[in-house]
Amino acid sequence: MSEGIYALLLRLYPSEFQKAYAEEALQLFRDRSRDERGLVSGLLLWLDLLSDLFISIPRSYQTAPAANAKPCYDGMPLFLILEGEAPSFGSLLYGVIASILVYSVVSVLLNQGGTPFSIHTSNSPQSLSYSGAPAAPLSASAAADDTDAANYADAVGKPTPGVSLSYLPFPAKSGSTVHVTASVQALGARPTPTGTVRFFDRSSIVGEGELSNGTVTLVGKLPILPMHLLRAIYLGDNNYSAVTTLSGEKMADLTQAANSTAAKPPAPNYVRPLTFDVVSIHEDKSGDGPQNAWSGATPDGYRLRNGPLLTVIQTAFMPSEGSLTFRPNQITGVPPWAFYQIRYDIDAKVSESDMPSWKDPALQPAMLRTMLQEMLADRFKLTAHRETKVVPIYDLTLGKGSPRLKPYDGATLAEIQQRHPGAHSLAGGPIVVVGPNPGQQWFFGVTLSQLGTLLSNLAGRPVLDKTGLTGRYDVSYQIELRPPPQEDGTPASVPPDFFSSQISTIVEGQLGLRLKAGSEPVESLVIDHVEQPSVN
Amino acid sequence: MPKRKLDPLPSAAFQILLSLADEDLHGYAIMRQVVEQTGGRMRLGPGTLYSSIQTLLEEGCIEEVDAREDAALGPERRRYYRLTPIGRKLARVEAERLGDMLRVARAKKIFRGEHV
Repeated sequence: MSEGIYALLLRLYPSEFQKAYAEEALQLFRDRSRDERGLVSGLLLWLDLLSDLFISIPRSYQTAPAANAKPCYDGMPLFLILEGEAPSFGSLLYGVIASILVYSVVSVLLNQGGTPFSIHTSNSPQSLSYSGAPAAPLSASAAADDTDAANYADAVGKPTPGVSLSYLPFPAKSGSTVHVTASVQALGARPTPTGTVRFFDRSSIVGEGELSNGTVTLVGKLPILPMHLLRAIYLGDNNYSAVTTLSGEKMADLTQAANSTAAKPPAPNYVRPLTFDVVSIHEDKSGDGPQNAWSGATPDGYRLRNGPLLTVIQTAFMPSEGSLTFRPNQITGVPPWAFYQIRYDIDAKVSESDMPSWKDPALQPAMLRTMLQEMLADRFKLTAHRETKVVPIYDLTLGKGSPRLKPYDGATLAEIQQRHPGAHSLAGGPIVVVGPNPGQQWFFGVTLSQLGTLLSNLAGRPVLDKTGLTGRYDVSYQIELRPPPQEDGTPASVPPDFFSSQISTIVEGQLGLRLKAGSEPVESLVIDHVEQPSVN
Repeated sequence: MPKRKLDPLPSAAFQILLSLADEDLHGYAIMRQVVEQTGGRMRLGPGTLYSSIQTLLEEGCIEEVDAREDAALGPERRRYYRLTPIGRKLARVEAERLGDMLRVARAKKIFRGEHV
């Protein structure tokens, strides 16, 4: 957020200067922010920056800047030169006051999870600036680590609550009033979240309201659009950081409803739930081992080969903090048949009407999760809830030096596949490439939270991102797949802690980050009920 | 010879020229070098730094060299700057001028003994 404020201030410079040096100035700001941490250093940094802005901005607009001034006495320009660069007392005083003001605002925004905008609603129903109708109550899950959430997020260690979004009635009738409810869940023994929730449809704010007992409901109408992407951003309070439901977590295809209206008058006004068009489920009888299992999105839907139901559950439910998946030991209540005993082949197809949205990479991950949750509920009668338990963890923090993370340049999967044909995307967006050397892993566009999840699989316990880095990065590291052979040349057996023992080397030696052991409340997924499906 | 925009030479520009005397540096490294060579008395903010760099580039006192990463700071590519012969000459002239001023000050016994 501080960087965002400074980026805004840089716009005060002439456009030529911005084009030439704004990015470098921001880079320098990042460098200094990284090297000058702490309250006092942060205050001094902003004092420096604001003094610099107040002095250099007026000069940058002068056709004959101070540097051009002729000395008053030829040959004796020294005092003029020195005065030309040193800030005056007035400038310093102005800088001090402005620094304190800006720093206070930044601190409030960071520590209180506050918002620069006015909060104007209560939890009582209110009208939204829309007309029309949404949508269906799709199963809810939450995710932080979205761009907007990052803008609001608290990077100083407050826990992230779960937030979910639902709306009624279901199905919603076109033109009818819709109740959109956001729930922010308390963590463990912490108090019930308070503060503001802001509601979005795509990037438009449709309303906001204050939490009461952890929930807030808005009432209004949405316009008829081809697709709604509803989400809620909780802005945080003294106990919790900001978090958002994932972009596109709630969606409804109103085109279908509109098209159907002409054909079948009563029902077509209703929006259908977002489900797969066709689902086929079979037990896998190939006899292949788990190494041949495959799960993922396909151009027209979802496919599971030779995989346990647990794999589908992991794909369908994303942890609230936005990491890629729940690790197996974060999911409880899974019966043995679903954990490993029965392996399934599943083919699910998206309907033609949903295909345009499915082909949008920004929408597909959320669509896939929603459709899989619907399929699990429909065919496996699965019900589940989230809860939080204190477990051993590692905190992923910045090391002493600079992290070896390359900022993601926005390369698409297709572009990366041109260089690495085996590249594929993971749920949540990052693109993974394995190899070419055995044990070599490349991740493109990965957040630090997602990197923590990837490292969790090695570490054997959750790795929680505490770096404060909010961007997406390209990351590479090397895993040793086998221990060195024994002295007589025979392969050594793989000890149980072989992979977890590499975690420090990878994190500190290869990534320039640091791990700190601890214990923290971590979200887990509890399967309340699941039953074997009637296969087709 | 020094051009009009750098006459007189601002102390920020002079410090930037001095910082580049030994090696090519990027913006942040220039800032740190200036802090070091002035004993912490001058810390160039981004606006002052880059407007000075802009002027020095326009006047041919420094030149931009190929952007590259700084291994100590991470994978971001950074623009590096190099002192040109014109810039080196300008810095020398300024240093000589300051030296002359120092001699005048000494002659006038401006300094106390321990600083002479």
